[in-house]
Parts: sequence; structure tokens; C-alpha cells
Amino acid sequence: MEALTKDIPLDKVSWSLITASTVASVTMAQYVAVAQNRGYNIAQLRGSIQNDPIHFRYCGFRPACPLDVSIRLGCDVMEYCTRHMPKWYYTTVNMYDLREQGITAPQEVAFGFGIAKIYIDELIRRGLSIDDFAPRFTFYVSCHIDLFEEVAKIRAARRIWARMLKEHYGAKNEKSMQFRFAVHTAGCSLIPQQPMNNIVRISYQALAAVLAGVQSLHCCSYDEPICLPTEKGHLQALRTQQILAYETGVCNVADPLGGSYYVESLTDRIEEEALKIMGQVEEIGGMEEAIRTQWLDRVFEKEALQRQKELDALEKLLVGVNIFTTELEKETPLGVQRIPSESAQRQIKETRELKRIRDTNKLKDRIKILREAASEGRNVIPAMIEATRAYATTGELMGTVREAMGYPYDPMGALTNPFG
Amino acid sequence: MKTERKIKVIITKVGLDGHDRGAKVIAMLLKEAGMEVVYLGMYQMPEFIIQAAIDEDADVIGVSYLSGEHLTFTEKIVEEMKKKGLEDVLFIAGGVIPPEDIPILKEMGVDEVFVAGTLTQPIVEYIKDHARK
Repeated sequence: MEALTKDIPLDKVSWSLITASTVASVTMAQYVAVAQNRGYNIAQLRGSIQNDPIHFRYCGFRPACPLDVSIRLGCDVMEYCTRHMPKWYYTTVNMYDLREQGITAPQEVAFGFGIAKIYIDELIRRGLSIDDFAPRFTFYVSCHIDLFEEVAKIRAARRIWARMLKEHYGAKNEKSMQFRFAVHTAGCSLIPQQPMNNIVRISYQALAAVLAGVQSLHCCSYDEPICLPTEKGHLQALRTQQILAYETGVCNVADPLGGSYYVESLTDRIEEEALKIMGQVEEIGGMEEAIRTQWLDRVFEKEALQRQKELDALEKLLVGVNIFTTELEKETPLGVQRIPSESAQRQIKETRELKRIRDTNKLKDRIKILREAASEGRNVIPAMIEATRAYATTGELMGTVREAMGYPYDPMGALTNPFG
Repeated sequence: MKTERKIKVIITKVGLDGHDRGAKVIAMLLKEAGMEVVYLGMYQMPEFIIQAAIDEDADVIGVSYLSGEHLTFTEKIVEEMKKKGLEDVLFIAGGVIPPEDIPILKEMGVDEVFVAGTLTQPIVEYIKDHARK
């Protein structure tokens, strides 16, 4: 984090901390430690963090995501930011990654809100009132290729969120009821068979997001189904957004499709469907139960299989895959990204060097304090910040918390606790 | 009446790659196509995969990649297959793989590569035609 933020005035830019959600607590602690070390008042800093550890079990690294640890650490970040960093968006609940599992638009909304409710209920249990924290609650939403359906989905999500906050949670502040979200265009809709055509798909998806009133947009790179995106691919994706924002005029109006008989009826339908699914989740005991019993895993598997069968049976058409296929359009004219194998070696070397030169006694003290905070059920972020100042690594911080909560130090079982 | 032995396929992921949608879908589809599928899931290492192939007497090993580490891991898997004498086991790879890497993988010893966006039928047909009889 020191190297990453070097020479950048933290009070002049809004930071977007996008890391593996499992370790969002560590990332947040590192950011705060570095900012304070450099003399900033953290209450003035603006930014967001992708802090939704629960979702990460489905698209990241499940052994590192026991449900209780995920809820605890996710809410520790949210609570810490609510109390100390009022300008910070402390979570982006990740509906996007859920959608990428192959589920439908109404399922995306229903399951995303289900996970959000787990965090909200825990924050309320900790004594925060809904209007203290809800105005900083944000989401990360997918935009797939069915343009009107995606617009309707987001319009429906806005209604469901507003009613849920007002009626279920008793929010009084209008800002609590506003559905705040960023969109990432759907990576799983892209194909390697005719790569340049992905640019067209991404453009339509971005258009849907804007027509639905998105607050922050990220376009996929056209080469994502082929490799990690190239720099040229990234730049092209950025240009897609810029053309949309500065040339097309679509940003001049809010909710331009409101009132359209089709979009309005589709919005009603998706709202109804999403509420029905949320009701099903409640019937089986709520989202925590749906996750713990792997009910949600089974839904994901069933839906993913269904999506593939739709392609196989030509029920859904995908140009270049099951229609208009050709051998001639496989070029990726902007090249392919390669990650040099030395980069991993360099990271290992630098970590070893850091471990060699840090003050071991100070580190042990700070780790002990973290372990106590974790065992006693206190918010671990302050202790993580102090341990970070003693150059504890991500693995050491997470391992300490995991052990204190009754899990093995290393989720893969390869390392033992070096602090005894 | 003689019953035909089902083709036995191992589907797995390797290393720390956490994207398993494709691997799970292909495991379910091969099962529906009449094969016996052993799904090892995520976070496997080459030695374990090969040991599983031996224990299960598998005809096919299918590895799904989405982490950009397909060259590194394939080399290790092929090496391990040779060491354990599994030359007659079909080795297929799938996932997000740059087109220019496909000949490299085949040179290493991968029998076929199926990238994202491949329909089910060509995969099933390939396995039925090429798995050891």
C-alpha cells in the first residue's frame, strides 16, 4: 500500500480499493495506516472498497471464507468506516459475481439483496441505526446483453431497495433509500470465437447501464475471454465509455425509458419475480441458511447448466458460437497479455526481505493484541491497523483472526502459525 | 449380454484459480452424455490429479483453466503423467486460453483444447472418438 499510494495526494482523489473481498479488512487497515502515517485526517478521505467477503466464496477462494468470518470481517470494515470515515463507501455488495455464475436477472437482484440483508442485520445488531450507515451502502451490478431486461432489472432493484429500507428497516433518511450502484458489463457474455464482436456486446451493455441510471461504470475489455486484458484492450474499453458519455447524449436525461409500456411492465415483472425469490429464501430460513446449506450452490449449478443447454439447443443465439460461426474471425489484433513468471518470484523475494528487516518484537506484540480483539469479539480493524504498521503480512493478519475464531491458520493447511 | 464400460472422466481445476462454473457445467454435461465423471473440484495440484486418475482408472483427464497459468501447470501435469505411465489417458484442457498457446499446449502433450464458447456436442464427440477403448 505504501508503494501503491506513493506520491499520490490521498485527499485529492477518490480511491477505489478493489481486492479479494476475503481480505478487504486487511486492505482497509493498510490504507488507513498509510494515510495516517502520512498525516491525513481519515475522516476527510473519499473512496470505496469492494468489501463483500460473503460473495467471495462463490468466485474466489472458499476455504478462506467461512461464513462467520466473512460476516464478522465484512461488518468490522463497515462499522469502522461508519464511525471514523463518513465519506467512505465501505462495501459494494457484489451482485455481479453472483450473476456471472449463470443466474437470471431477477435472481441476481434477489440474492444480492439477500446478502446485503445479512450485513445490515449484523450492523443493526451491533447498535448502529439504519440511517447511520445505509447512505453509504453500495452495490456492484452486472449488465448482460438483453438490453430492456437489464434496464428493467435495475429499475426494479431501485424500487425493492427503497421499500425494503423504508418499510422493513424503518429508514427515515431518503439517502438510505437510494439504491447506489456501479455496473460492470457481463464478462461471461463475451466469447473468444469472434473477439472483435465483443466490443459491440460491451457497448450495448454499457448503454443499458446508462439508460438505467448507473452511477459508476466499468466496461469489460474485448479480450477478456482470451487472456487477462491487454493495456490496449483496457484503453479501448475506456474509449467505449467515453463515446457513450461525451458523444451520444444519453447522459443528459434520467430514466429516459420510464413510461415506456414495455419497460414499465418488464420492471413490474422482474420486481415481482425478485420478490418471489426473496420470499423463497426467507421460507428456507434466510440467506445465511441458504448459503450454509448450499441451497444457493445448487441454484447456481442448475442455472449454469441451463444457460449452456440453451446455447446447445439454439434457444439462445450467440453470434460466433451457435449461429454465424466462421473460421475467419479469430484474430486478436491488439495482442495477448502475458504475466511474466518473474513477477511472482519478485513478490516472494520482496516479502522475504520485508520479513527479514521488520521489528519482530513489535510485530509479535501487535499480533497478540489482534488475537485478543478477535477472540473477544471486538472490531479487529484498529488492531489490524497497528499490526500493519509493524509490517504484518496479509496472511499473518488473516491467519491470526482465523485461528482466534476456531479455524486453521492457513486455509490450505500448508503453513502453521509462526507466532506460536 | 455384455454391458459396455462407461468412459471415465476426471474433471478438475488446478492451483488457486477460483472460477469453477465451466468445469462444473462440463462435468454435468458429460455425465448426461453417459460418461462416468469424477469431479475433483478446485485447488488441486498436479500430483494429486494424477494419483486420482490412477486410483479411479480414468480414461480422460480434463483440466479447466482461467488463471493464465495453463502453461506452467500443464507442463507439470504432463510430466507427472509420463512418470506414472499414463500415456494412454486422454488429456483435454479448457477455459480461457489464448489461441497462440493452443499449439504450445498440444506440443507439451495436451490432446485437445476447448476454449470458452464451445458447444457440448463437439466435446462429447471428441472424447467418445479418442478415449482409450
